[in-house]
Amino acid sequence: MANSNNRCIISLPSATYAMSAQKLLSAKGIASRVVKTDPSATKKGCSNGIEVDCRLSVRAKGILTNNSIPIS
Amino acid sequence: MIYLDNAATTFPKPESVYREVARCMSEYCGNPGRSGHALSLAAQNTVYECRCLLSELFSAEPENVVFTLNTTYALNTAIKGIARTGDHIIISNMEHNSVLRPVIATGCDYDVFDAVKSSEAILCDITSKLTPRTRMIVCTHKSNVCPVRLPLRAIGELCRQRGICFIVDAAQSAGVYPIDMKLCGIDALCFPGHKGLYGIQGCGGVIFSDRYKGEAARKLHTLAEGGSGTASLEEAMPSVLPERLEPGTLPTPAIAGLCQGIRTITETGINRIREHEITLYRRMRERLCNHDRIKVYCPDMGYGETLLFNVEGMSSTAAADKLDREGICVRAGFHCAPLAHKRLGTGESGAVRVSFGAFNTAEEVDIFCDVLNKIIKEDD
Repeated sequence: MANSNNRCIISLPSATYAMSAQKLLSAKGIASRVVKTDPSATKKGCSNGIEVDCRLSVRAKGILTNNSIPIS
Repeated sequence: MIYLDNAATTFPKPESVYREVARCMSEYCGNPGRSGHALSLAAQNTVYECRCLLSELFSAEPENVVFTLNTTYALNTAIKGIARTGDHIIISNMEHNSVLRPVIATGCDYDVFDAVKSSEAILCDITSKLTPRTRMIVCTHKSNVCPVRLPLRAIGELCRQRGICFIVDAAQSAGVYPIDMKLCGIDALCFPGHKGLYGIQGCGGVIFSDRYKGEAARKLHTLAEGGSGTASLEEAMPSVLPERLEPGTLPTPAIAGLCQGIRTITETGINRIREHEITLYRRMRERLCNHDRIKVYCPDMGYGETLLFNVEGMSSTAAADKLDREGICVRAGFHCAPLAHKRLGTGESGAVRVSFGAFNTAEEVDIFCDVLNKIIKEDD
């Protein structure tokens, strides 16, 4: 999902996983921001994620998956 | 005042802990994991930093660190989260009521092994008690009553071979002895924030192994349910750790203090702190063992930071009360560990416990011994 600033949200199962994802991506040179995601975007309600540059989104998701961080 | 009740809670705390708790309360005490604003995220950062520090200290993953109110809640969370109807559980005879009572409350059958033995004899005893229904072994790392310490690595290896869960009560050892969860095969490590880690009262936790990571956390029954800041439209608690087992607002100031406590003991060196405490223990043991009216329990153990004794002809409560009048804080009675006292032969009367911390000194030990001598003389 991309917003007007070309920032993409990667949804994660919890605030803790969002923090872990941010730390991991930072170590790999990808800047991100922990965010609360739009509760209407999922059927589950309030959720968490990280915001990254859309151009790096695929790479970021790959890093997270390879490090056992589940993407919602 | 001379404080020698560090097994109950360490006192004082490092000054930096007090400062951080106060700074948290005045500068960044938002509700962690709930909102997207700066104050909530600042609190969330501190909570996450604490998870990272704990996971580094105990060789675990930050996502598996679950904060609870204290070790008792941590043990209840782990034991009742894992136990199933019809299971069999094995515990040691050094267990605190925070293990014994929840194990009994599960309704599962349980057996007790003797921990006041050699490592080999302990393993034999445990092995003889295993049944096909044995789900878990729950034991303390270090007794809260006397200088008995259990061989975690050997017990963990046995659990690993048999596919049994291994739950450890580290109430007396977290921050005092190095604990490597992976090396010791520990599935759930329960710890207090306010003892050897030198945080304040109000938080402890349980750290799970990767056996419960991600969706595998669904295997854990929840002890309580409530808000989690995530998946709020769902009826059930989140399926992943730590949020699955952390309903309600976390005690951010206590967690901030714990963070600082861990940083401080890590900088000082936990081995150094432990050696200091053992030196004090030995100094006191030597003097008390030489008194003909004092009985020291388990005096042959070369290590330890917890000294248990009785004065002949004086109840443990009377001895502790007389020490208190002289400005010395110790704890008398059964220390919430009835099985341990029964094993040591103090099941009827209890005993006096002296427990050391990082801030105690040799001079305090000498004053304690002099005061105790005076109390006994006055009683003669």
